[in-house]
Formats: sequence, C-alpha cells, structure tokens
Amino acid sequence: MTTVVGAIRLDYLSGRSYLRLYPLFFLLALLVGTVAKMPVFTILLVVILGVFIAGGVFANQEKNHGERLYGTLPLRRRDIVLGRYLYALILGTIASVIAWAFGLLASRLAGVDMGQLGPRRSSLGGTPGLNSLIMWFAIGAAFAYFCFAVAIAFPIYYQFGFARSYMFTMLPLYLVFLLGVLITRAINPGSLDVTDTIQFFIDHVYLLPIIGVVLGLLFWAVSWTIAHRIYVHKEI
Amino acid sequence: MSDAAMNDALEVIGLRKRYRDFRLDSVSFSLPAGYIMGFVGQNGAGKTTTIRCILNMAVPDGGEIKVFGLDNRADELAVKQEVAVVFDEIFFVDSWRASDVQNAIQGFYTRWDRARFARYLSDFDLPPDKRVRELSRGMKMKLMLAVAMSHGAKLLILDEPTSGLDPVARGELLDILRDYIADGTKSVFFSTHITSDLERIADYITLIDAGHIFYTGTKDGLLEHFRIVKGSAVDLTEPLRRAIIGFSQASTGFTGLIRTDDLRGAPAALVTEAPTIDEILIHISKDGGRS
Repeated sequence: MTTVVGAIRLDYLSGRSYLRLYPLFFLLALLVGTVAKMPVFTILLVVILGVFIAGGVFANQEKNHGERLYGTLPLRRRDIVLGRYLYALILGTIASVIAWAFGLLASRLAGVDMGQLGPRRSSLGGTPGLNSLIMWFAIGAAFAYFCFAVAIAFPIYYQFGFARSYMFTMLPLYLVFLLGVLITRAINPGSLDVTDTIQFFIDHVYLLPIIGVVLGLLFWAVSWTIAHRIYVHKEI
Repeated sequence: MSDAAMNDALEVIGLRKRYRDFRLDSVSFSLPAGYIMGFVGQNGAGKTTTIRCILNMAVPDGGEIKVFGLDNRADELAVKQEVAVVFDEIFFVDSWRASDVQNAIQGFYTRWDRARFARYLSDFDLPPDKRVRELSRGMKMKLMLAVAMSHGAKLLILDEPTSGLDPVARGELLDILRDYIADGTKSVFFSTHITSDLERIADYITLIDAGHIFYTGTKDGLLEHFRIVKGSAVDLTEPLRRAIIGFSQASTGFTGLIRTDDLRGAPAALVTEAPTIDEILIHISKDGGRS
C-alpha cells in the first residue's frame, strides 16, 4: 500500500505544474456561470476543465522521460497504474466539491436560481425542491463525467502516449454530446410525462449524487482494469 | 545456487529479445560484486535493450537475469532497492529543484540517506535552488548520480552516461565512480560507446555487436586475447585471411584484428600490436557480426 501512496505522491509532484492552473480554471468557470446566469454551467465547466489537469501528469511524464523514472523505482506496474487512477479520483472528487461550492457562489453572484439556464429564460427552479434537484443532478453528473473522461482518455494515453493522443481528451465530451442527441431523438422528451420521476428525485434528492458517484466509480474501475492490462505488457 | 552466482552482482543468462528489425541472441555475462564492468558496443548493438530487460522495462523472450542472486522479475521490488540507474537523459521533471527530486524519490527507498544526498550535492557543486531545466548537461548527470548513490544501492547501472559530456565532466564522472566502488561492496555496470572511459576504470568488459556477445571477461584478458595484425599482400595466406576480424586491404598491405591464438604459425614478417578497446570495437563492427 505504501508504494501506491508513493506513486500517488509522485504523480502529484509530476503534475504539480498543471495543478497550478486549477484555481485559474475555477475562476474562469465561476465567471462564465455568473455572466451567463447559468450556475449549472459553472459546475460542469469546473469538472470538464479538471479533466485536462488530470491528464497533465501524462504530459509532464512524457516531456521529462518520466516513464524511465517510474521504471527504475521499486514500483510494480500495477501500483503505478493504480496510483495514477487514484490520483485522478482525488482530483475528480476535489473538482466536484469545488464545483458544488462555485455553483452556489455563481448562483448568489448572478442573483439567479440554480435552475436558471440563461439570462432571458425563466428559471426551471420554480417548483419547490427543483433547485436542489438540479444542483445535485449537476454535481452527480459532473463527477460521473469526470470519471468517464478519465476512463476514456487514460487507457489511450497508456497505449499510444500523451503526445500522440492528447486530442482524445475531448473525445468523452463529444461522446456525451452525441449520446445526448441520439437519446433525445429516440425518446422525444417533449412527449414524455416525467412529473412522477422528477417528484421522486425531489423526494429522494440524495440519490442523485450517489448515482453519479456509483456510475463514475464503475467507469473508473473498468478503465483501470483495461489500463493495467495495457501497461503491464508495455515496453517502457 | 553456486557460490559464484551468489557473489555476482549481475548475472545475465541466455537473454533473448526479438524486435521486428533487431534481436538479442542468447546474451550471457556476469559481473562479480565489487567491480566495474564496461558494456561496449556501437549504437544499436543492443546495450540499452539489455539494460531495459535487466530493469524489467522490457520483457525478454527468454533467458534469466539475476541481481545479487535474485530474479529481476519475481523479486522486482527487492532488486530495485539494490539497483540505481543513470540514463543518458535526465528523467526528473524539469521544473523540480534538487529538494523536489529528493521529496519525490526518497519514500520509495528503505535506505534513503538525506545526509548523504546533501553531501553529494555539496561535493558535486550542485546548486540546490536551481531547477532541473537550468542545469548544464554535466550537472544533470551529477544530480542523477547523487540520487542514484543516496539510497544505498549496491549495483549502479549507467546507460551511456558520458555521451554528450565534455572531457572534464567525463573525467569527474569517472572519479566519482571510482570512489563509489572503493569500499569493495558496490558494483558498476557501465554501458558506453566511448571506450577510452573504460580503459581508465573498467575491470571487466562485455563487448556486444548486433545483439551477440563478442567477448565477456576481464579487461586485461580482452587486450591480451586480441592483436592488431598488419602485413603486406605476400604474407596473407587463406587461413590467416579467414582468422582476421574486420579485414581491410589497401595497396600497401592489409590490417585487421586477430585472436592471439590464431597467430600461431603465422608468417614472422607480420607486425602485431596490442589493440585498444576502440580498435577492437571498430574491427568487430566492420565484420558485421560474422565473428
């Protein structure tokens, strides 16, 4: 276990130059959400930008022959991969907590409900409890997205290297967008009566972050298994 | 396990590794504990591949590698506690300072010695507040050596550490290595194609050419084992021609490398002289691995 902790620490120190960008990204997300009067956007943006930071450790590793460093240390390959994934998970958790806080802050600064989706639209948060539901949905979705993005990008980085595949950092976002379009077309949301579902989640709002976390951890675990298999056989 | 194997810092037995355009073919050698071995070959001969296999950074197709009697794969963590590595390129994050390097590395080693690291920084005149990217090539090499020698490793592996260094920095590095093994318990495995370095410090030499081991043994044995032979065209017999490694002929005569044993019965008019390691390397390379 101590070697895994060491690997997480080494990843932190390797990617520290990218971590310094984090506050800047957070402030940018706060600004965008406030000006656009869309606090939910702040929540999502904090996490989306956070994915870039998590990939920074691969970028720095490649730039500085870091694979050789990891290869010479008393570290098993599985510990290196687990350390990297735990490091990403820690970043994702921190990003989600900050996204929640900054979402609320953006809501206060803009003087709008959490359900406000733009300056000229009326808030979706009129129904009692809906503001809370939207916020917790956004937090859960943000965490799940973070894990999904890591789950797609990390095995690709392990297989092909960061420099050759960094464009795939955006791939998860495109996939989510594409999936959203396909589902919307398939089910025609306007024709669905989701009142009961919404009321269920208003009554059980705590389920939303739990679903987000479980879904995120599922993505994380599957991806970690794949990345481990790739890296164990990789020549470094 | 035999006593000899127990006393070997490094033992490579029948190592095989195949790539699309290159293969290591049954590479075997051993380095007794307490000595420096030079691992010599031209670029692309298989030196780095062998080192990567030793460090488990590449998986061999066959063979065995033992470090102080431990299997390099099954006992990887124990082996890597005993091994320190210096590559031709620094592998620390370029924004790190020496203190960051120590913070990042020390937790992995059970015998990391902070006082020793500080002493090496001072002895090597390494400025602790400079970032890695601000260091000269020679200083980067010294920083890697300081790290490598601060965790009580008993086997130091260096892959082309002197390439790109100026003669003064190379001289300093060789002095550091000599001091490092002075207590008789540590060993150095030193890959290079700059053979003049080895003539100064190596006790053992392993020559590799196109993935094959050409010679492994003591440095003195290598130099006694071969001769540079020169002669005129009339002295060149067919058996002699076949025995010469890296044969070349000009209008004035021929020259090449020959095993000392093959000189028996050769014409007395031949001129022979002791080769340098460089000359041996040049001749076996010319021979294209046929020898």
